[in-house]
Amino acid sequence: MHKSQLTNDSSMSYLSTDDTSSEFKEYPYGKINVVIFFLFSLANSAYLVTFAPIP
Amino acid sequence: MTADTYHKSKSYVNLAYSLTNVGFLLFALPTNKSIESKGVRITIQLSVIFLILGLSLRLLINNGGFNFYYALLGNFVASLGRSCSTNACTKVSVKWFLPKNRPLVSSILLLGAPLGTILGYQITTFFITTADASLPTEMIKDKMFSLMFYEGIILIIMVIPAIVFYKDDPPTPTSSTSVKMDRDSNVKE
Repeated sequence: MHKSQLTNDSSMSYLSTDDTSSEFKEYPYGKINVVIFFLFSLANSAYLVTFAPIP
Repeated sequence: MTADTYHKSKSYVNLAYSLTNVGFLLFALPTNKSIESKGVRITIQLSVIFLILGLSLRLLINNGGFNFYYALLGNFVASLGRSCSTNACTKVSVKWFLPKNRPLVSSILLLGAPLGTILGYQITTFFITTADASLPTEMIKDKMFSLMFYEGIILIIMVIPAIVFYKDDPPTPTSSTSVKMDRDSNVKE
């Protein structure tokens, strides 16, 4: 079990703050999420200025 | 040109942008709460519903006596979900990336908003420009509908991957901070 998950037990008051631990790792899907979210963000701003060039 | 075509003052046309800020402000805090308690995926889905509803309302721009009011209402409804794209950036980076990469990822995600406005300008000028002002009113209205329609299609295509493929959590946490965020959101529920 993951170290930080062990410390997540309600009977323990200590929570590790060692974010640099080598036990943590990134997953490639994170990059897909970034692309997806970026497109979502682009779309959510594009309609704001529809009438700006043609007032 | 829009003001003349729909017999409204320019302040109405400017209102189309101002209303999007009102929508953003109204739902900024509830969206933040939803991101924390329900997760980013569900919040994105709600946001997309508002966006599709708003863009659909704008298609009624040439209908009846309300014409341009539909565009104002559409912009307002679509903007109710806009706060998700700004508020969830840090959540995405904390959940999926190691602490050393988070500032870069958050910055990239935040760039979406200004780049989106540039895209919005370009889409409009592709369909209609101020040079078309000399055309008959009915022709301008047709062009305006084409703009609403194709912009709607383009933007909906862009948000579909978010509602289908976005994942809230990685298989294991990326840091103890990420674990703490999970624990806090569970406690709140």
